[in-house]
Amino acid sequence: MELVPSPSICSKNPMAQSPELNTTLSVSQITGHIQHTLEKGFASVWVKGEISNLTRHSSGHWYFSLKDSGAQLGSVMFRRQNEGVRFEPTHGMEITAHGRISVYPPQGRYQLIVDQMLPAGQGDLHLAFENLKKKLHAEGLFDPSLKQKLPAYPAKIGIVTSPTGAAIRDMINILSRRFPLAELILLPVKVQGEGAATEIADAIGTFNSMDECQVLLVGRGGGSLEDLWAFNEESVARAIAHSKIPVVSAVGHETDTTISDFVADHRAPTPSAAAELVVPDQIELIRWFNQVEQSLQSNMRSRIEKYGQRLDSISRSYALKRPELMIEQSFQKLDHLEDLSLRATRDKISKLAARMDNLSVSIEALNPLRILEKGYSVLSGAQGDLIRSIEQVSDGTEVHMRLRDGEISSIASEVKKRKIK
Amino acid sequence: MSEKDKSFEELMEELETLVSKLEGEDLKLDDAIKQNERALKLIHLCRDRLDSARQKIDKLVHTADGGFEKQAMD
Repeated sequence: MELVPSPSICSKNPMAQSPELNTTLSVSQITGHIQHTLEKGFASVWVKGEISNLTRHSSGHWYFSLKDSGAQLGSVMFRRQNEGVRFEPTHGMEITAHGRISVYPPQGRYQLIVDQMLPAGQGDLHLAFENLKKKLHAEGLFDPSLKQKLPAYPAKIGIVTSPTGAAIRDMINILSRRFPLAELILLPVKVQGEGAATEIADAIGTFNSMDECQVLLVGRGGGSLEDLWAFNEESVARAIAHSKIPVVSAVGHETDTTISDFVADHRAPTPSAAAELVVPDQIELIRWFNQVEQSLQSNMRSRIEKYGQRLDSISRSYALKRPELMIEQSFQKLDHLEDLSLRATRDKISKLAARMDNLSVSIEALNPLRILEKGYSVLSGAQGDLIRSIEQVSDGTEVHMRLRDGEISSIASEVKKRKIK
Repeated sequence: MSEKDKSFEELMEELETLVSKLEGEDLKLDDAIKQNERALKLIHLCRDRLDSARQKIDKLVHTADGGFEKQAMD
C-alpha cells in the first residue's frame, strides 16, 4: 500500500530548496492527511507478529506491541473484543490479529486496534476459511434455493464418518432406537489429517453413484479447528454441493461451524442431532397411528349420525308436504286462477258494452236526420238527391221537402242566388 | 396394488393425504366410508412394518476391482 499525497502538497523534489508559502502544511494538516490515508488504507487487516510488552489494564483493555525482526506496531485490544479470545496470550507468543490502523494526532502515533486474536497457526486457517467461504458464497453454493428437502421416512441412510469414536456409535444408537426401518450403510473415512478431505469427498461421490440412499450424514465428533479442518476443504464442499442425495452435515459441537455446514442441504449441530433430524421416532409414530385410528372412527360415526339426522328431517318435512295435500292445493289454485280470469273477461265484456253504448249515443247525436227533430227541413231533388246549393235549382225544378212529420213536393219559383261574402 | 413393494414413505404419504381429506367435511358418505377403510388398512400396514423391523447395518468396503460392496454389520 502506498501513500498517495495530492500533487499540490508534494514537491517532486524531496529535497526542496526552500519552503513556499502555498505548499507549506501545518502539523495538524499533514497529520490529518496521514490519518485519513492510514485509516482508510488499513481499515481491515490481518497481522502476524510476536506479542511484547503486554499489559492487561484494570479497565480490562489489553495494551501490547506486535513485533518481528524488522518492525514494531503498537496495539490495543479493548475489553469488549478481548473477552472473546479463547486462549491466554502471553509475552513472546506468535499470534495473528485482525484489526484496523488508527492514528492518534495529539501524540503523532498510529496503532493497531485489534478485534480478533488467534494463535498464529490458527490465524492462517482462519483466513483460509474466510477466503473459501467468500469464494463459494459468490459462486452461489450456499444459496437456500439449492437446498434439497430431506425425506420424511428414508429407507436407506448413508453415513460418512470415522469408524471409531463416539460419533458413529451415537448415530447408530439413535437411528436404531428411533427408526429401525431405515437401513444404515456406513462408508468409513479418515476425518482428520492428511488425505481426509479426499476420502470424505470420494465417499460422497461413491454414495451418489450407488444411488441407493435417500439421505447422507457426513460428519464427525468435536475437535479443534485443525481437527475439523477437512470439513472446511474445497473438495469436500464441492462434493456436498454436487450431491444429488440430500446431505446433512454434522460436524463437531454446536458452536463449530464449517464450510460443509454452509453448503449442505441441512446443518445439524452434532452427529447425534443429525440422527434425530433424519428419522422420526417410532414411539411417536405409533402414538399418532393410535390417535388417527380413534379419530377416524369417531369421525365416521359422527358423519353417519349427521346423515341419519338429515334423513330424519327430510322425512319429517315430507310428512307435512303429503303429495295428496299438495295436489289438492294445486287444484284450488287452478280454480282460483280460473275464477280470476273469468272475472277479468266478464269485466272486459261489460266495459266494452258500455263503450259501445256511449259510441252509439254519439253516433246518434251525429245523425243528420236528427236535424229534422230540431225543426229543420231537408231539401232534395226529384231523385232524392240532396240539394245543398242554389245552383242545383232553377225556376221550375221539382223539389221535395222533408219535415219531421211529413213531406212537401213543390215547384221552385223565383230562384235567387245570394252572394256569399 | 402390491403394497409389499411400496416404501414406508409412500404408504405414509398416502395415509397422510387420506387423513387430511377425511378431516374435511365435503365427502359423500360412500367415499368417506371407502377412504376410511383404506386409511385404517394403511395404519395397520405401517404399524406392522414398524413392529417387525429389524435394524440392518451394512459397511461399504473396497472390492478387489476398485468398486464397493456391502458387508452386513449386524
